[in-house]
Amino acid sequence: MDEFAQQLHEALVGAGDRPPGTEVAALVRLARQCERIVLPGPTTEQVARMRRRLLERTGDGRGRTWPLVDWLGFGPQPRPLAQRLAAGLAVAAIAFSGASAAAGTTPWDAAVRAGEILVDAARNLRPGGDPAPGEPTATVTPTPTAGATAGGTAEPTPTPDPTAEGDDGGQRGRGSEASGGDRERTPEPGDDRRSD
Amino acid sequence: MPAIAGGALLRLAEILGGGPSAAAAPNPAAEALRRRDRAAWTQLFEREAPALYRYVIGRVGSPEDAEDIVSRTFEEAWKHAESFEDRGLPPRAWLFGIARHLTASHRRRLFRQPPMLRIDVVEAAAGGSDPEVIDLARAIARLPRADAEVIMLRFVHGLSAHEAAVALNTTVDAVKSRQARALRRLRDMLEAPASAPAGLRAPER
Repeated sequence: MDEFAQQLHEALVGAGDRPPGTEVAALVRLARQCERIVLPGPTTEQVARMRRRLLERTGDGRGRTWPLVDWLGFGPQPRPLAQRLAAGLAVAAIAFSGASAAAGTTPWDAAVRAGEILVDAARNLRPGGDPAPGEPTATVTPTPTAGATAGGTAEPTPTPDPTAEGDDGGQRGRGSEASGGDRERTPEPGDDRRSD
Repeated sequence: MPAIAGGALLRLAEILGGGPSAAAAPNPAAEALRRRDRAAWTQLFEREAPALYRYVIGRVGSPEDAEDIVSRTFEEAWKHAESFEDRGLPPRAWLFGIARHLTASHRRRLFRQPPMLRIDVVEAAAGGSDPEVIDLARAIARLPRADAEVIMLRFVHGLSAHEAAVALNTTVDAVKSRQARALRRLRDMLEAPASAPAGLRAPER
């Protein structure tokens, strides 16, 4: 540090034991002019927000509870990916444990049920897909045109009549009565073609 | 005897520098900060937050950003409270160093840092009532970064040479040399005919 800088510093702090030179005095006046530059301070609301943020940070005065909260992802600090994944697993485990304790099911059962729901939803929402095994097809319907083409009348589908009472114990429906009841039906020429 | 004379000179230099008296006794306030005493930290906030805010908003311009940076400054200081060194200085220098670092990295674009002084902030604060001050601020803003920074810290924000040295992470002698160089450049800039502001005359030599 040169002597001029030391002299200037002494003059700035008012500790010099000798009168400052002309240049030093001019620079001290220039420094005093710089003190007139005023910058805006914070508003009352801003001070309140910053104070609240600090108090939240300081927590109970020791900050001992914050590391876990920060680690779990509820704090303001950004965390690396591995830590975020680990925290996510920890939170999921805690949530599963709480849910199983409340519902009386194990997390495995809940996971299996959730998987079943997803599979069912995927099957039901599949547009135009193949029907599931054992599921009735909507396109295959019995048609009465076979009898009509042969000049006869098609027999209606026998449906059980819950009100019918008889020897058959109510197994005989209206369709049977309409087609002649228990009478044996006379074979018709169209029947041969149907059998083909 | 030479050692005693050297110690006395060092002591005299510290006094002349307006710095600490190198007290060996532990400072209770500093210990409370290191212990993360909540009352001490609240008191520190009430005392230093406005000055830190003025420093930051003078560089970033946005009140929201300044508020966020000041809050982060205290959070960083709280997090590293154990690292606070009692050098016989008020913790203002330590906080200014943290705020300086956070401000420099705020919205940084490659090698561009926020300016040392934003003229629009000074104009808004002055309200156009003091053109000399605005012209002086313009001249400071045109200085090299290191010169403008030491002038801002020493004479606008009122840090001592020792506090500025801590905030700038340099020595006291370096601050003294830098402030002498910066004031000379500022004077030359104000005296230059092409750039001399109309409302401000440089002080006579």
